[in-house]
Amino acid sequence: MKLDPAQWVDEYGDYLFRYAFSRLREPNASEEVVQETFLAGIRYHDQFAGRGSERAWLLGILKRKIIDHVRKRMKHERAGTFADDADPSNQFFDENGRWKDGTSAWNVGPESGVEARELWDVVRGCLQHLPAGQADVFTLSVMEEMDTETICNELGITPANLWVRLHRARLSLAKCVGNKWFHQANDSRREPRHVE
Amino acid sequence: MLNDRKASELISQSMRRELSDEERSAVEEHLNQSPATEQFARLSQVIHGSTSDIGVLAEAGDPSVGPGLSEEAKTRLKDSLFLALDQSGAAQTILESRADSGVTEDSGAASEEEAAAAAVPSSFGNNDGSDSRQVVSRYKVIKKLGEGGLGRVWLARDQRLNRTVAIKEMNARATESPRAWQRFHREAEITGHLEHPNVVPLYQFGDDRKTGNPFYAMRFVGKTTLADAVVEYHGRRLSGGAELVEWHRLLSAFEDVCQAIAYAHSRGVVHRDLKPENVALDNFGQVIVLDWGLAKLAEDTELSTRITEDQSVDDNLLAQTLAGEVIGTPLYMAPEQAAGKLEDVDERTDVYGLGAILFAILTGCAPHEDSHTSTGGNLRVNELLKAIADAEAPDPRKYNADVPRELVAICMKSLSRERYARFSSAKELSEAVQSWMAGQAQRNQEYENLRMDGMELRTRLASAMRDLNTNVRFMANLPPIQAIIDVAAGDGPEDEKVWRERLAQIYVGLLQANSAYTAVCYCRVDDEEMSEIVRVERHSTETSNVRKIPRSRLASGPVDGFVRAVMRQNPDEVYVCLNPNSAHCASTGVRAGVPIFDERTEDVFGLVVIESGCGRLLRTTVESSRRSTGQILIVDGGKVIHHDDRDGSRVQPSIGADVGTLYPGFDKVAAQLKATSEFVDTNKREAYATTLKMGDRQEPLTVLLVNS
Repeated sequence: MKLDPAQWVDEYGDYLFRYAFSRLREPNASEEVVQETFLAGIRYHDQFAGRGSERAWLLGILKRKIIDHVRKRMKHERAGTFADDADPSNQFFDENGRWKDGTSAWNVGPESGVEARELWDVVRGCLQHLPAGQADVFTLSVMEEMDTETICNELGITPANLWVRLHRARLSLAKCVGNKWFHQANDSRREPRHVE
Repeated sequence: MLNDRKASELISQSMRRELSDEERSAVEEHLNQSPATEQFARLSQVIHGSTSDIGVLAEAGDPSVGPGLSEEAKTRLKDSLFLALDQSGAAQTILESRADSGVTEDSGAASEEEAAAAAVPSSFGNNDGSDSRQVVSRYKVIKKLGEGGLGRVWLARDQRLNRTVAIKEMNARATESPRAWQRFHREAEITGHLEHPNVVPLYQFGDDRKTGNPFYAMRFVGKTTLADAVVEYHGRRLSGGAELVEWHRLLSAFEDVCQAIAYAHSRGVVHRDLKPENVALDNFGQVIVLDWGLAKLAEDTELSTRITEDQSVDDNLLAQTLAGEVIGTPLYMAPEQAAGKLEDVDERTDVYGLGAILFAILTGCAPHEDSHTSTGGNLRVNELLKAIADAEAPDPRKYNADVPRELVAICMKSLSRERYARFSSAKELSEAVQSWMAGQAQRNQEYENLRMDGMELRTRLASAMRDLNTNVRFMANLPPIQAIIDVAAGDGPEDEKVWRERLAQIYVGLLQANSAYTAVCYCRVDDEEMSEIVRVERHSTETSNVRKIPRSRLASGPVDGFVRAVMRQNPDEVYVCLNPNSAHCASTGVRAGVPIFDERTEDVFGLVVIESGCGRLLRTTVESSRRSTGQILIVDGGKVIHHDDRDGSRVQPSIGADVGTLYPGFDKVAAQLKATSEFVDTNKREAYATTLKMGDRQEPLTVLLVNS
């Protein structure tokens, strides 16, 4: 069987891209890591012992590339801005640590019947409004189920910093998703879907 | 009691870690009291679950999680993969490895994935194995020679051909960057295409079997670079221990670099990164120009066609490397490069680089060292580049005052800010240095001649002085000497005239046999009065004419210092002195005298004197064998007592002059002569000097030869 890059791209391109896009949320960055993965696949072909599937082997490379990309992105962001440190807590809590009025109007409930993918579209949209350093930590933490120590080592942050980032991400996401969902829910109540 | 803020923090944490019993009950209690917090907890859980679900679905390959690659993106990807395959030549090997391994799809997926994740170097990882590596394909790695931004250089043994080679391997981190990748390939390709004794021969290009990193094997040329040699030489120069021959070796290495660059230019390649660090010197004097990774290929040359056809090398990308990231030191960079005018880069940019290397050889410093250090080395790179772009050519003499003028001119011309003012080619620069070296070789030969002349002159003069002593003693012990004394005392059997005739006859024979002597005479000294008894002298202009002075013309008069000094000597002790007022020779005369004692009374009767002249002594001793064309000066106590110019004619006005007016460097000569018997001018090769002991005199004479 001859290696055919065109076939490689056709066979695994979409899979790897979707995987990368679910973690990185940006099409350009996702395409870049997929390209790097394929290039590394060519370079390190000797290490592919052939025992497993090629797709799984490429996915292993892709996961590394995603972490590398996230680390670079965080490093870049740290150097350029202080967005990582943006603390949304003051928007949510008053000086006594109580929810401020309005912020606590969370709209949630299984009765809303939102499909997982629809919800994901909302969540992904909200993640894009978060500082990348918070969103990336949240994504790696939840999707890759990496343990605290590994995340901290890979991204060069302290555990305390990780908890702070995760919490801030969750607060902002809750607010954002709650709002959007609420509106969507209201909209859907006002204009019932027509099934054709 | 928790407040909302603290409770929300614990809720967030609960999604990644187990809360303690205490924390959990506190949170639960708070949730009962705060519906908003409870809502937050539920919403966060939903978001967490959704995100986690999507992660799982994406891994499982569910297409509903999002769009796939666009068609354009797929085309782009395919193109880049084909290019990479071409570059690595890996397709065939991949094919083989897959064929051998008997691929079984979808089995052991997890282990494959883990292996891949562990094997692919991370940009920040330390899993590159460094020194522990043993084998790079057929090469057995011996040790690491060096490491740069792009990769490492190893000393290795080619196990097939059983020879030592150097292997340059791109490191894993650099392979991530297309620019570095391209630079590495470019370097291998260009080096491989340049077949020249001063460009390192490339043996093989390939990919490491184990790591997949590209590498190339080349001849091992040693670790020493021209930069090391320059530092070593100038270190010695500043401590006063440098040999001229070392400096000439550096210049000769420089010529080789020029030759290699001239050859590269003829193939349409501009190096663009010339500096002493990029020139290797092996133990046998071979000079190798390295690091062609930033080279520029001129369009429309046979080489560029070959390389670009094969690789579609993007010169702009490399140009960005030069413009954007200054690789290594910019201290040797041409102004047009520093100014980022990449379109202006051509062969004359390399001429500047060569001039910069020459500058380092002449001074031990980089040409832009001043721009860098004048600000305490705190200049940012772009500020330094601006300073270089605006700087005028530096003067090597500012750093080393001993640099010969001609070389200063060659160096400064190469370093002209404007390209048109530089040498038009590396060849032209090489010829200028060659021509200076050739002139220098001639000067060296001339100096050697001068030195040989000086040594021979000293030997012959010393020998002439010994002869003078012997002759004057012999002339004082002839039978007529005592016979004349006897006759004067009224005791002689024969007439004084007969004895005088006999003595004069012998003296005529002496002068005829020794053309250096101008006169010989036998004098009587009585009560501070000296009167000549016999005198034979040479005609001042017709030197072959030797005549006896008739009695009526013999001189007499009060004794002078010389006579008194001779009279104080013991029998057969010769006193020699210089006589600046000698009537018989244009330069300073030399007189040697010996006292004559009355054998019966044992009182001093008179003296015998032989007169000579420095000029005559020199001419008779050196003229026939003289090799050099410089000036010969004989110096006594800082005053010139004899001066021969280059064609051997006498220079009367210089006699008695201060030697400093004729040769300003005499102080240095005199200082050295106090310690050693000769002065060899190893640096400028202008003068040679030696000392000559003369009779009983305390202070020796200095024989100084100066090259014109």
